[in-house]
Amino acid sequence: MTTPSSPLAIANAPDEMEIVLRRVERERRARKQAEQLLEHKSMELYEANQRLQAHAAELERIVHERTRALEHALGVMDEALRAKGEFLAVVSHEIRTPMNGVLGMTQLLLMTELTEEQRSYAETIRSSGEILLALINDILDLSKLESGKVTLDTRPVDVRAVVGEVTQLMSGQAQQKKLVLKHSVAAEVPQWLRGDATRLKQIFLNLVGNAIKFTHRGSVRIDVASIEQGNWLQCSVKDTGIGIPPDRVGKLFEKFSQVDSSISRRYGGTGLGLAICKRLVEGMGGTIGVESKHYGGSTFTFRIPAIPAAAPQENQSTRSLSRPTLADLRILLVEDNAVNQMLAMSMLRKLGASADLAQDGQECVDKVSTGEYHLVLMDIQMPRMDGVAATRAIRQLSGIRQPRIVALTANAMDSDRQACLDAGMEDFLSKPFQVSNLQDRLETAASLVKVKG
Amino acid sequence: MKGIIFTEFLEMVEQRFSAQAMEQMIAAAQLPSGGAYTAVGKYDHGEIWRLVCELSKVCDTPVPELFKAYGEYLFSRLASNYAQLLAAMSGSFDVLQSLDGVIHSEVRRLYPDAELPRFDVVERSPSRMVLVYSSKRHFADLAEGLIRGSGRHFKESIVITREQLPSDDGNRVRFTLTLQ
Repeated sequence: MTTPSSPLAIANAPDEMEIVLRRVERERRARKQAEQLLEHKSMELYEANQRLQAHAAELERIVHERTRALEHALGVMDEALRAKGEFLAVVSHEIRTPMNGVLGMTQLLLMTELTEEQRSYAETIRSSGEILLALINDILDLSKLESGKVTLDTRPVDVRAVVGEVTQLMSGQAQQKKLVLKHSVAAEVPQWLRGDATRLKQIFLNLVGNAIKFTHRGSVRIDVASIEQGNWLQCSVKDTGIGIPPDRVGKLFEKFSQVDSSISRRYGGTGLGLAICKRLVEGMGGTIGVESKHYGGSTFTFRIPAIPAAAPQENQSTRSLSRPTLADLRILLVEDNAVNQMLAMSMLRKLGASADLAQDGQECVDKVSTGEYHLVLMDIQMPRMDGVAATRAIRQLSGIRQPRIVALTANAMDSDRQACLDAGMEDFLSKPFQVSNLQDRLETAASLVKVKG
Repeated sequence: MKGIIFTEFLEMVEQRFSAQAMEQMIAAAQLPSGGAYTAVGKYDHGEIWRLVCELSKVCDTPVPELFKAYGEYLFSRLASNYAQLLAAMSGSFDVLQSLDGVIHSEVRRLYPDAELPRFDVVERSPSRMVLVYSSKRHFADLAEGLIRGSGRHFKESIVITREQLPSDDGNRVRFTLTLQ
């Protein structure tokens, strides 16, 4: 087109038409190139997208798989926890039954004529037995709290009465150590609040018990106040005791945590009390903490939601009737264990009552069908027919006087109690029981007999 | 070499000279691509040499001067296309400092097959910068033009001195920039 020697010679200069044509041709080719590139890039994008999608699907599959594995592991763990709870309940039951014998017999032994030396031995057996029982109860309690099996009451609670009772219960221990034990409940705290009186008392008893244990001179005081416009109840137990080293404060509320291992040798205790308190307070929707100076005393404070409640209705008139005589009460003791039979019979004799004996549920039903009994003291686990089945059978008997049935159970689990209630029993007596508890049940039964005539 | 180097060059020739001059240059260069370029394409770097050589004949200006002039022009065009990249920079030294680390790594992400020159900053103070340009191609003049363009963009007055360095393959040039 142009000669190489003079490419820009005027003669060869392209005219305008040619410029335009060349240009159009160039632009057309450039466009085609661009289109090809675009097509290529689009394909690349599409493939990248496909890879991303496959990757996302793979990730989702992995997440799904891991979730399933985790769920499975969680199920295995739940099952293990449940088995652990069951095991604890069974073991504690198995320990409570012989403990019932040990404590009961010791109690009876202490009621007999003893030399000073014998009395001191028997007292040691009794106190050691009680410590062992307390430990079993704590372990069982904590295991129930941990498995979420504890349902807290929301009935009206008289906080002043709870605190008063705690002070009264602990005053003996305080006096022994020459400590001042005081309590005060601020005037603005309502008389009735919704809550669980038993559990609230348990928390206070634990904290006050600890405070007394670790205080050698001075005082322990309980303060209850209403805070944050009355929305929270703040309870504190303050002592002038040996205090807690700062580095130990954090672990205090963990299980089996004591300030140091020598503590358990010097002061006793299981190290479960504060763990139980923490679970209970948290179960009530509250928090618990401690402020302490080493050798400068400790203050344990817990806060729980304060929900005002109406006063409960009085319904105790039956209890205040003239004192019934227990000797008139027709009692049937249903118990397969020989030691327990002997123990219960001895206790009944001490209280001036007497009872017939049935060895198992079937014998019990046969005897009750005569209609002569006011009260059945019913063991639960027995051969042939257990206590729950026997109770159901009795409740289906018609045309006889239905006796009041009190379960004698070493099973402290709420679910077992519920089974007793559902079968038609009226009350429980947890083994090992004290003479006073038994007396209480007998008197209730006697008073009802009087009312019914 | 990226197509944008070619398309911008043709634009410049048409603007500064004429459409006719551009056609003559293209025709005289006898290019394998025929001068049909698209900005996103990739072409033999030899074509830009042929074009600049032909332009040099048309306007009677030495090739290195044309490359420098084109570099300045190219920078202003890139600056307006990629304003957001320059927004964070406070001056030419920042741009040059971030060439290898920031700008070229972005370019590579978009065009994995791009052959990019290297700019190693060997010295930097508020008023002086020494950098070494290394490339398989001999485009040190274009690089100098780009540096000038950057100086103009930031309204700086930069004195540039160049020194050829020994190199086994390709081209190594040390640029010393002094801010006046």
